[in-house]
Amino acid sequence: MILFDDVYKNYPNGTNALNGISFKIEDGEFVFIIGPSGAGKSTIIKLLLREERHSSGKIIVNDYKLNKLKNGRIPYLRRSIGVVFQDFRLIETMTVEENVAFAMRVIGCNSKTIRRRVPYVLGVVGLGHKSKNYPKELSGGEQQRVALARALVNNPKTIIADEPTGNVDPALAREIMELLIEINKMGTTVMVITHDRKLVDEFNKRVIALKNGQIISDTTGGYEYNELG
Amino acid sequence: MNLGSVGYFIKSSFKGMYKNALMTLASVFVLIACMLIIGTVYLTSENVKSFMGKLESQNEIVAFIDDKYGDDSLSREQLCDKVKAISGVLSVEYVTKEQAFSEYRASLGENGSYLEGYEGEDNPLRNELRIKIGNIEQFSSVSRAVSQMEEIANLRDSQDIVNMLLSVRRTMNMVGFWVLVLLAIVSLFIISNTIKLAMHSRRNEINIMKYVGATNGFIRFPFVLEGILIGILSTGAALLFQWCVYSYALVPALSQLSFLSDTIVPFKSMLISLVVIFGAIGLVVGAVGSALSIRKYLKV
Ligand SMILES: Nc1ncnc2c1ncn2[C@@H]1O[C@H](COP(=O)(O)OP(=O)(O)OP(=O)(O)O)[C@@H](O)[C@H]1O
Ligand SMILES: [Mg+2]
Repeated sequence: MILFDDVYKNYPNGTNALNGISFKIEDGEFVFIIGPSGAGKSTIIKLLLREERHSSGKIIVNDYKLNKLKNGRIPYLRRSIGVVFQDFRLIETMTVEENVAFAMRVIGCNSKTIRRRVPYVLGVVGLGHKSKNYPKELSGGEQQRVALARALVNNPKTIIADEPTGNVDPALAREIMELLIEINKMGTTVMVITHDRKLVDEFNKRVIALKNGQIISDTTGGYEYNELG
Repeated sequence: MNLGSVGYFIKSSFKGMYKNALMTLASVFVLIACMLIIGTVYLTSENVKSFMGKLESQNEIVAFIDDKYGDDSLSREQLCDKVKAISGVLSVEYVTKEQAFSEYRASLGENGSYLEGYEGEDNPLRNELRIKIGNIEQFSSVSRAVSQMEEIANLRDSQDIVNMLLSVRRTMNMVGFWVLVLLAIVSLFIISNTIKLAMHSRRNEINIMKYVGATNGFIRFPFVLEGILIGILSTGAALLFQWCVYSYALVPALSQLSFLSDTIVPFKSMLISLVVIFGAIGLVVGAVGSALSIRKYLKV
């Protein structure tokens, strides 16, 4: 469960990125977060991951109360969230399977578990045949799926995808969305952050719309994009 | 952390050293150089100490006994025990005036004949105590205590020489200490820079580690290990070089000084101390140096 209760975020330079945001996402939900550039979408992710601290309000993420979270617990908070970054952030010097295994290794998994789990997850994202390739040898869509496999591999309660369809053509965008829906069906909470209005329209899912750091609508189905202006 | 991670740590550290081979090599060399300087100072000072030890052991207080006091074996023994009870006294030797006289004559050699007519009843010398001191730091306090004894008429000591020896020793300890501190700081700086470079070249990996939930300890470990490995590598090489420096440069140089040549300390007897000194420098500098440089990269 992810809960934001009247959350404000003021950056030190005076920007008010979030101005009193409240929403609740139950376990197993699928949610789009949309809004124009600068609306505060990425800021929400930064707060979830405790990359930044919120200025006021209350945040709870997968049983971690961020208002009271000690620094030593941050790694464990992050293990409960898998993030697919817009720029993928793969390690160029590692193969696909090494990239995915790396995420397991650095939280202390043993080699036996890693050897069993990595091929399975690569299978889920449809990249089993590319496991020995390096990121440079893959298309944008394939790299994105590696990033998704890495986000999935530690079995997080929540998956967050930041602009997952930003760099790929419409057919691939559909594919990646369908993959995320499959993952959601297996019980993982999924948050998708996007500009892509068509994409949102295609799926009948909950949509939280942001503008100027405020929620301007939170609806499931029949969402009017025009509200964003 | 579990056993499975150990392999990862070791691989990761070696990879880091290999990737930064030039910088790693540079820091190993600097560390070796620092260790060699420290080691050479240490070895030299051990040799000077061994020479001074000989000088010190020759330093004695000669206390002349007032003629009023009895010369029988019982009072001799009592007097010796009394002096031995003074703190700092290593040994006491009772020398009768007859013994002292014959020693004196022997020391004159051919000119011993000048002493004719002073033997026996006419012996102008007095019975004396020759007192050896364990630690020359206590020389003056023993000297004072002995001179205050009523049985002692007067005494002869070499306070000037003792003071000179003391100041040489103190200066040497101080120089050694500051050389150690200075070079430890230099090595610390070099290692921490090497590790900083290693971390910089892998900042993307570190960033990803943070996002997937690796703990700071886990992220830090391979880099600290890398620092320690550099330390150990340098220690081994420095020991080898030090042995060469000692056998082929220092010993020949010291032997040139005739007064030092018969107190040269063999390398073997200082090896353990050297291993301890170098090992401690290597480990501490390696671990602390890398730990220092990591902090910046663990934010976020
Ligand atoms: N580190 C920061 N320091 C200061 N201001 C920031 C910082 N990060 C973001 N902002 C500001 O906060 C506001 C919200 O930024 P945010 O990145 O959350 O927007 P976004 O909705 O993700 O936009 P985009 O769709 O362009 O990615 C913007 O005005 C931005 O300039
Ligand atoms: Mg953004």
